[in-house]
Amino acid sequence: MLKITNLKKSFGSLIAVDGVSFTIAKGEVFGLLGPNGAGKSTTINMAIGVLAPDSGSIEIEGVGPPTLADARRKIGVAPQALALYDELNGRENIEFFGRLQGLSGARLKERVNAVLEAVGLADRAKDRAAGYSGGMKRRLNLAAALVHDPEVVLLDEPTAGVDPQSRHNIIEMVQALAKRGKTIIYTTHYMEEAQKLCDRVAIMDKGKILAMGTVDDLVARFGGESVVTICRGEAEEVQRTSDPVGVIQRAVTLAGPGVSGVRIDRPDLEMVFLSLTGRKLRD
Amino acid sequence: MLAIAMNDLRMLFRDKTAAFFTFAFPLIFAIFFSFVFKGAGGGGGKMAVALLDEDQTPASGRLVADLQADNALKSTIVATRQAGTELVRKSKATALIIVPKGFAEGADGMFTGGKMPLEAVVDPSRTAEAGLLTGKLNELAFRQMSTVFTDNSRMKDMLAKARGQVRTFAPDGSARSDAFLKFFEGADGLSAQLEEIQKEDQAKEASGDAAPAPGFNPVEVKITPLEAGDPNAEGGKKFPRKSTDFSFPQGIAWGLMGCVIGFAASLASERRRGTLIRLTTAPISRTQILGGKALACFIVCLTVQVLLIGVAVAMGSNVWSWPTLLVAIVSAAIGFVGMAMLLAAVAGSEEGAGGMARAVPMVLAMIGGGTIPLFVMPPFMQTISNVSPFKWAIYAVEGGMWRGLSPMEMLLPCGILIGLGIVCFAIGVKRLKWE
Repeated sequence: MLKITNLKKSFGSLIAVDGVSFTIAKGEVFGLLGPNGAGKSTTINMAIGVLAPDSGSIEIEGVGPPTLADARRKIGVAPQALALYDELNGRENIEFFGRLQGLSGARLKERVNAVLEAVGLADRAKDRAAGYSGGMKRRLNLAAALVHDPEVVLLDEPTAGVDPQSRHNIIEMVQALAKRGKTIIYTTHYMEEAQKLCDRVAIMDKGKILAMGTVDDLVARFGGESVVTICRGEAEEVQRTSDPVGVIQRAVTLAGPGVSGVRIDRPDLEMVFLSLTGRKLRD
Repeated sequence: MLAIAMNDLRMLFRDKTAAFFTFAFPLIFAIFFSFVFKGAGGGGGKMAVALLDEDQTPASGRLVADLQADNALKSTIVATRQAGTELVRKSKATALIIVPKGFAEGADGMFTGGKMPLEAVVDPSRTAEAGLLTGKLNELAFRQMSTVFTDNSRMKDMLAKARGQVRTFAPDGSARSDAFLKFFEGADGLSAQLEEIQKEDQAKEASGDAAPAPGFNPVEVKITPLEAGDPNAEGGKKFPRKSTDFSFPQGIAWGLMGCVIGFAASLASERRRGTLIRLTTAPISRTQILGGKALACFIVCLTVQVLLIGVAVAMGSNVWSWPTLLVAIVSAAIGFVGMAMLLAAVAGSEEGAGGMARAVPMVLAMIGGGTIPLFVMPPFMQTISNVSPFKWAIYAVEGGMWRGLSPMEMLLPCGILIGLGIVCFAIGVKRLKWE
């Protein structure tokens, strides 16, 4: 469980995070979405203890703030910027990060083998990380976050710039972690990933949470109407409606064979984001 | 190409530390040392020497008085050779200058081939200063001889003595005796002429237009390196035995500087790699993180020193005391590790760390006598040099290798090195920033 209450952080005159609060339950995947500069990374950095908040509180697994070693022991971080030693091989990297977390001996070996297997790098474990592809490095980055089997996992853009195979592997891992009761914060620019993975989503902009809830809830509240496009030969007729099926039925009934095609664009997180912030997520 | 160059320049200016050490530091450095040497006229400091007058004659007394009055020397009169060499061994004096018995006799016998003997026992690790000392001794001894030609009564005395000495090796009426006596007659003439010249000089001096009196002097300065060993106590070994005894401690200090340069960028490298975030989110303290880095640096520092000492021994050096040397290299490693960790903690980027790691040790080496002999520095800089781990590392390692410093004598250099290391490390932990 991760509980953040009224978190605030400023850098000079810039207010980076302005009163952010949320609680993530065990086994929940929580999506933190927002454009660059929205305050996501600052929030995450405060949650993992890298940044000290100006005010507000963070509690991890009921232990306390991340300034406590016991609380930090329960956190696993996969930063967006790869945090690996290119000079070391895959196994050496994971072993080192495991030792940092206090693992040793048989337990360390067991955990290293388990996470390397889980991210599909067991057969490349003896290769230096410098020789890994971007997708393999992302998976190794994730393995480093999970080696000590943390209760709270913070994944910052874990699929950024990876190949489809690695993306699939990472998404499967996140789903498996959630099933095992891990608390997960997931930031991404990929709406389809957020919709597929996240139980709840918070949309941040300018340091504030603009909206928070399940994907369906947010889409229903902020996504607006579906867009129906009816094609008649070269001509297209676009209608916004909350009843797209009814619109299509009426169009076909009235126009008969004159309708050459129809398309329904249902509201999604991208539209929610657009309606809340006035811009697209990747702007 | 232009775009890459512009981007690099932009990044350099945005890294304040790197920009400072690239642009501002050389300027400050140049201005600072210009200031340091400006007032000193290129060498206002004094070379510390011990003086021993074994001759105890008016001539030797005049030389000793001149040595004491010389602006380039800071003299301490000692009663025995042992007392003088002790000052050199403890690095409190660069050399022991001995005016040996026979100095006056040599001076008086100048016209019959006599030489003025002078001895100096010098610190072998300060040969540059010893070279300058030789010049200084020659200058002052020549000054003694010049007084012969400006003091007519001394010249007459010398000529009378010389006439007596001729009889000891050339019988009266012999060709050699005649030759010398003719020379002395000439010298008598010269003496009379000099008397006239002296009067003229005095008249000129009164009118403010004095000219220096000419002179010559066959001075013989014998320079010997300090032998710190006690042949009886150490099985006949004398220290230093080889040039490596005092050249390798210098090498060790420079090797330690290399370690500082290497490790000062270690945290900045972690930041660049992104791995710093894993260190900071691990359940370990800042002290443990910096301590881990310090341990690695300490091991490297020790390895470098052991390697250099091993090579020195292989090249024929003897070590005075292995336990003392061990204490010295551990202390030196602690001092330099602390310095490296402080630099690592305050450096924001690898470029900044690189700049600091090169500049700071270089300055410490300079003020510690690693590049410029300490004696040429003005007194306040010699005082400042006491903060340089470079100076104390060399002294401590020399103490174990050949100076034969006692445990009590090792307390000062080792205490300073260890204290410096601990203080720097503590400041580093305090200054360590994740953000």
